Amino acid sequence: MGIKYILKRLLAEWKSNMWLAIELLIVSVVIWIIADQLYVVNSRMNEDPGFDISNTFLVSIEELGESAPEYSAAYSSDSARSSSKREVIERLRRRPEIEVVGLSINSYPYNGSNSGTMLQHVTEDGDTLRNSMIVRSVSPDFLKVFRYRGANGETPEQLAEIFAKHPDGIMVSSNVFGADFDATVLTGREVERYEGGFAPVKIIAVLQPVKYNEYERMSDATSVVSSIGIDEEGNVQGWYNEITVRVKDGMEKDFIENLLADSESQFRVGNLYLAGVQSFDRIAKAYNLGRKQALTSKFIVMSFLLVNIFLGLLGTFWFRTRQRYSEIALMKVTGATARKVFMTQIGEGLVLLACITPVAAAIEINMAMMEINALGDYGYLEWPRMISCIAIVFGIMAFMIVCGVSIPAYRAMHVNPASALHDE
Amino acid sequence: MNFIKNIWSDIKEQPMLSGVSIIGTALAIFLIMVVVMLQEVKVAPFAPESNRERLLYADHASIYNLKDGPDWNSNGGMSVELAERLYKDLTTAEAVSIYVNDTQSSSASLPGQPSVTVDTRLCDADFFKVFDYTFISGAPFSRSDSESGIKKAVITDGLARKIFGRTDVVGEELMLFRVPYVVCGVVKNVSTVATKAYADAWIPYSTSWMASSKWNEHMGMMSVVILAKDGVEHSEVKEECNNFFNKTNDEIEAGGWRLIQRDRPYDQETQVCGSSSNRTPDLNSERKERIILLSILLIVPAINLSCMTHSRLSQRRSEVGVKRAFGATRGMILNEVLAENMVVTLVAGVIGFMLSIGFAYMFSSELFTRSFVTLSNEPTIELSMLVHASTFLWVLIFCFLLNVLSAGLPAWQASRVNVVNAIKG
Repeated sequence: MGIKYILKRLLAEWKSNMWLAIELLIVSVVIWIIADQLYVVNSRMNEDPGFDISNTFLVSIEELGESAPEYSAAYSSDSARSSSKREVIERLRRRPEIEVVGLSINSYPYNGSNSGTMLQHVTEDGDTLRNSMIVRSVSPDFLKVFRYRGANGETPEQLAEIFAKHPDGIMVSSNVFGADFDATVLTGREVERYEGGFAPVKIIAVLQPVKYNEYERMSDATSVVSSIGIDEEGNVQGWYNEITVRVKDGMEKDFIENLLADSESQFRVGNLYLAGVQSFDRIAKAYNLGRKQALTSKFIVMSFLLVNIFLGLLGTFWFRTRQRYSEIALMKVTGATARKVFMTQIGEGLVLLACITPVAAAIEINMAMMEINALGDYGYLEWPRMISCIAIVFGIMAFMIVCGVSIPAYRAMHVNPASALHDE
Repeated sequence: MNFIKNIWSDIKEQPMLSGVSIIGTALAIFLIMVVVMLQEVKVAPFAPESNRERLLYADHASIYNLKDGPDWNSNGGMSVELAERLYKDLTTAEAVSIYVNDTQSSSASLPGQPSVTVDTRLCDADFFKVFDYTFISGAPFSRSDSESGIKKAVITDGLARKIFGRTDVVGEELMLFRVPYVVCGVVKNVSTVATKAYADAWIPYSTSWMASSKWNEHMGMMSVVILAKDGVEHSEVKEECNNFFNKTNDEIEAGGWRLIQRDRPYDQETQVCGSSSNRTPDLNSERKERIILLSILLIVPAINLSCMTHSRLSQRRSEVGVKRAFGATRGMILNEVLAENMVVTLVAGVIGFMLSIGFAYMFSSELFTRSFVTLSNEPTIELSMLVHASTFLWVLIFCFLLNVLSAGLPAWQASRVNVVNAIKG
């Protein structure tokens, strides 16, 4: 008895077992594809995104149209607009629940902009490193709103201070020229930035990489932060800026309602008015929804396939038990315990899975080599990931097999030899 | 009658196997139909996007400066002028509308009253020719209204009730973006699932600063939707678009700019593949993915069901043997097994189909909420969006495929049964 006996039984029913094996093989591979993707997504989500959106809000300030009854031509000049805007920002800063107010252009997390630039650096060995990356044009306080951190351990406050002192410089992420080049050595040095042509620019600090969103690969999270441009009077260059705020801990709960309630009395300045406030939690949720839906549907497909395995095994083994009534009875007569009968049935399912797993693994490794699975941080074929995923798939499949076979196996356990062998 | 009796006695004979077969089939059809319906909602027509089959979209344009070369390109909305140059004079189109792709979140109120947040669509008068809104009262703003920036608005009955408490509000004043607009028409609520037609209020784009917003000289905030003339092929419209595209490129080249076409405008199916402005949607790979998914959803349960049918039939070996002995041909046996199985598949298929509709209703918020945008309304689903004549056809096709895949081989084996062996025992 044992494995040898189980194999013999499997061979005896090779025709229907072959179909079961094919089904297990297809489902193994499909579940591996899904498990692989979930594995990659999960490990990315566990990485530090480089920004922190807790307690942060996007405040929309709009300008009245000329036809609005409240519009005043006296506030329409550029300088009047700037001072109105400055006043609104000042009033936001003075609110007791607000910790800090940031300004930016296409830069807040999940804003969807791909606005980019190119940096170039010639190393001491004479190699030219060149890479393109996302540009974030921000005010120093923006770094405090989203709590950017320096690669050398600088706090957001220290970074903001450096930025305020050197508005002409840029900050780059530590992986700006790839993971193999540690950009912290460039602190205080000049590189070339492309703006219609390469021009020198000084790196004033190196940041921890800031991802575009949680699902992004760390190696794609290359960015450069440059100043939004604020003149001596505090006027921001360009008109259409995003205003983001960080609210003090514990005061975020009614922040939106309170701010909107004061919108007319405090935030109607010149031709400006407060058009709305959104929490970054909500913005993140909307931005990531598509990916979440895709993941959910994969999960549903995976569950469906597993239910199929369950049903398939349940049906097949139910039928087999019925056919093998006398065989099982004979086993019992010759001394097999009910437990042994049960385990033999389960064993059949598991041995079948064990037989197809190497074949499935071979297919999966091939798929990874052909790059038709999920792209991880170090490519498509990463051995620790591959082995973990194969093990996870084996575990899930084994569980379903045990579930599916248990019911007929339980019935087999209770075969009464006397009535089953009645005719013999 | 005999036929139904046969099926019934077979089910009664083997309740476990039959039950598992029916559940398996229903589950398979359920999931397949969810996949089909999710796609149909995106591409099949329903009001007010009733003309989806004739629509072509150009959400974005792509441009580069000759000085920098095509690798350094900018992608996004068009300026009104560029949109007009590229698409407005198409002779193959029944209507061409210029509009702002995303709805704008704005305040809406009666003058001097507290406001609510609504989604406002900036568009021109032709937008109401492209999409067929159901007007409860009034009419859309006219072309001359929209060209001269007259502040008129079309609103939904839902918004009218929220603001005025009633729907007969044509001619009354409403504040949108803090600017007074006169309501010229009230339409039936539009679901967020109608991605392009959806809004709470529609106003002429010429009344907004967005109309004059420009970047990179030719780019702006505008998108275009084209309603092809009835009977005109998409390829004809696209060819005409190409001509205008080339002509425009020749004209703007002197200023140092050049457009990249990226195969625009797109038909409905291509459009829903992805709306990234800097990438051409890949319809083929999208279709391939869907076919692979559907194949897996068909093949895995089919193998299962095939094992089950095989088991059931081997219990009926002697019955088949007797039939053969009395002169039934192999073809007759094959047909009988397939037909019996088809009835069971159809019954299970109908259960699965009902389940999928129930599922779509129950989880409409999870299934149909749009990503990237935060809208004021939750998605609403109607039967007319989910179920079309084609949907029933798909159910039939998938049931038939599942039947042939799951019962074909066992039925063929059963028909080749050796008469002597079968009735020996």
